[in-house]
Parts: sequence; C-alpha cells; structure tokens
Amino acid sequence: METYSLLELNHKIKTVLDDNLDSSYWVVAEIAELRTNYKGHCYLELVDKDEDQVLAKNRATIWAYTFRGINAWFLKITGSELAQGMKVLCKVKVTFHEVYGMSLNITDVDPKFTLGERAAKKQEILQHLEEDGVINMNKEIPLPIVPQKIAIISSETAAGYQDFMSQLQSNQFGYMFHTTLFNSVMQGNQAPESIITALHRIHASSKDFDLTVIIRGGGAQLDLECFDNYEVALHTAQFPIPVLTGIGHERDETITDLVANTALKTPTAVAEFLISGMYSFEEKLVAAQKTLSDKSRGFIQSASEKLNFYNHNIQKASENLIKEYNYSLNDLKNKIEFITKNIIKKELDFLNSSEKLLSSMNPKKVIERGYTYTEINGQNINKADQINKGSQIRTISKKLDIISTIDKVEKNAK
Amino acid sequence: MPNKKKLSYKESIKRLSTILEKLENQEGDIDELMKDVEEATTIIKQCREKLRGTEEQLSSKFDEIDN
Repeated sequence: METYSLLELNHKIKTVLDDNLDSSYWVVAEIAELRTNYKGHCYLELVDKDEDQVLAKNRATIWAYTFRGINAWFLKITGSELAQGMKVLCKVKVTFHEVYGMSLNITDVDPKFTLGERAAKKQEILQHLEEDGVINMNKEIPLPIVPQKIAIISSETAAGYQDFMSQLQSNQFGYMFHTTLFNSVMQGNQAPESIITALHRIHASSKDFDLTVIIRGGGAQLDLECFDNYEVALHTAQFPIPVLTGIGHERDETITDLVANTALKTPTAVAEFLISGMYSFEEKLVAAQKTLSDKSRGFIQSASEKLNFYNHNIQKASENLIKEYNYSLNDLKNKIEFITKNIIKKELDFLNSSEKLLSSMNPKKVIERGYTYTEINGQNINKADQINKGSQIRTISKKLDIISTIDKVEKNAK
Repeated sequence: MPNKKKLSYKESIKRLSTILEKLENQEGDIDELMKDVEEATTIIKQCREKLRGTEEQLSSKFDEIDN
C-alpha cells in the first residue's frame, strides 16, 4: 500500500486544484465574519445559506493592498464598508496551502451587486410593511404645531447627538426644548434590538413627549443596515408619536427614513427643522398680532371717524334746532309784545276818551265857561219832575251861589 | 268811595264807567257831581300810572329776553 506524508498529500491536492481550476471565479456569497489585522489584511468567512442553514462555507482573505482599494471603492458606491451580513459578488482565486488548507483569495468585489441585492432586500421589506398596512401610519400622525418635549434615540457619545443638542440649545431665538435621551446602540448587530428597546421605553411614557427623533451620524459613513431592518421599521411606522430621523447619510433613504413621519439628512437638519418650525409658528403669531393690532386700530379709527361725524351732525342739528326754537320764541315774544302793547294802548285810549268826556261834562268847567248850574231840591233842575211857583231854586255861577224863589214857570220854545 | 281800599285795574275801570254814566245822566247834586268828577280824575290818573308802570315792566322784561 502506497503511503504519503501529509505534505505529499497536500502537494497533490494543491497540484490537482491548480491543474483543474480556472485562475479565478466570480462567486456570490454572504460575509459571515470579517476582521482585519494590524497589517491591514482582511480575513473573512464566506457562507452560502438557505434561510438559516449553512450550505457552504469558506475562509477568504483580501490582502491589505487590495483591501484598501476594494473597500474604498465599495464604500463610495454603496455607502457602506464591507461588513458582516452583506451578500457580495467577489472575484476569487482558489488557493491551497499545505499548512493553512484551502482559502479563497478575493481580488475584486462588485459593489453594484451588493447595491442591487440591498435594493431588492429593501424592496422586499417595504412590500412586507405595505402588506402589514403600517407603512404610512407614522406619517399620518399630524406633527404638533410647536413640539418642545423631545425624546431622542441616539448614542450619548455620537457626534451627531452632540451636534443636535448644540444646535438646539444655541438657537438664536432662545427657544426652549426639553430633551430626554434614550441611549441606544446605533450601529452593528445589536442596534436593531437596542433601538426597539428605546422605542418601547418612550412608548411607556408617551404622554411626556411631543415627538421622537432618531439621530446618529457624523464622522465617517458607517453601517446603516440597522435602519433597513424590518423590525426597526415596523416599530417606527407604528409608533404613536411622530418620528423624525436624522441618520446622517448621503445615499438613498433607509427604510426607517421612509416610514418615519419626517426624514431629514442629518441630526443638525433635524434641529434646524424643529427651530424653523418654532420660528414659523412665532412668525405666524407675530403676523396675527400685527393683523389684530392693525385691524383693531382701523376699527377704532373708523369708529372714531363715525363718532366725529355723529358729533358734528348732532352739533349742527342741535344748533339748527336751537336757532329754530329761538326764531319761534322771538316770534312769540313779538306777538306777546304786540298784544300787550295793544291792550295797553286800548286801555290808554279808553282812559283818554274818558278824560275828554269827563272834561266836557265837568260842571265846574262848564260854569267857568260862563254857564250856570241850577238845582231844585238838591237835584238838577232839568231832571225835576215838577217845578212850582214859589219853590226855591239854587243857581251856581262862576263866582256866586244864588238862592231864588220861582216867580213864574213857562215852557220854553225848545 | 275812592281811596277807601285799593281797587284792582278792572274794578277801577268799572267804577270809572259808572261815574261817567252818572255824569251823562246828570244825576245827583252839584257837590256830588264834583266829587264824582274828582274821583274819576283820580281813577284815570291812577290807571294811567298803572298802565305806564306795566308798560315799563313789560319793556324791561322783553329787553331781558332780547339780551
């Protein structure tokens, strides 16, 4: 029986492989593990899986020089560095080392494949969320007019969180925001569970918050896989408080961005959004105040003009009325004056005529004019019923009072 | 009789008319007539004064209204 040393066998295997395999193959695989050493060499474990069952597994390497180029290009195209959990299309050369066994040396990686893969996966998750009927739930919650009580899901040490806080606190208008940080892992495998836990904690005291922001970012573009995670997106979509994202990336939006109430590019942009929302509310208030002030001023002015108009009219009307009454009074006074003067004149006329009459009948004056007055038995002789001979009569002249006896009575010719 | 009591203007005129009527009828003796004439003259004088007084008062009142 022919025997070989292990080295001889491995030589043989190596020879068989070298003779029978092409110099390279394009292989689709998932990165199950990835690490780099101090020299910059990258060591991976590639697997082929059917759901959770591993169907094939190989070690792989990307030598430092190649890795720098591939990783930078991959990052530029996909927005992510090569990382565990990614499905990649890579160009491999199968190598066999007598000591280290079989390994795949990766010489190239096609980032477009990963992009497409990721897009397809993303599309699948979106479809799932759509079927769940939750995709627009968080978007449908109206944003509060002035959100001030803010729950933050971020990492305390993340540059993005610091940027967000500094932007909020140093806003030039002096608006107050009450923030509560729910510390969370924002990258890597633990991130989805950590973010979901934070959402649960906020939910437990949801009455204390107007909205929730999910922020990270700053520094280098990092892995965003956790925001394309179905569970994270599902919880975000169904969250009862509006969720704002500021995940800090330039490439296409993540699924969490798509289901959030409002997606913004960076934590700073979220802070600016909140501040500008407040500012626009304040502007509305100021405008309303101005409108109120203008309208009431206008109203007062027009009322004042009306009052002046009425005042003028009342003054004019009352002046006219007084003038009219004055005319009437004057008229009345003139009438009274005329009537009274007339009465007095009439009376005076009567007195004058009485005086004349009196003067003409005054016996004293008649006698003074040379006539005499004769009476018999104390009565005017003209009024005596009977005048007999021998009766005494009294004749009054201007200077004498003569008593005589009637000698003869004869009727005169008259 | 005159001056017995202060007569009103109306009463004075009535008295004057009575006297004038009496004079026209030439009733009473000469002394009575003389007294009547004297009374009538006094009445006329008093009435005139009263009228003048009234006229002045009215004038002054009307002047008050005008001013």
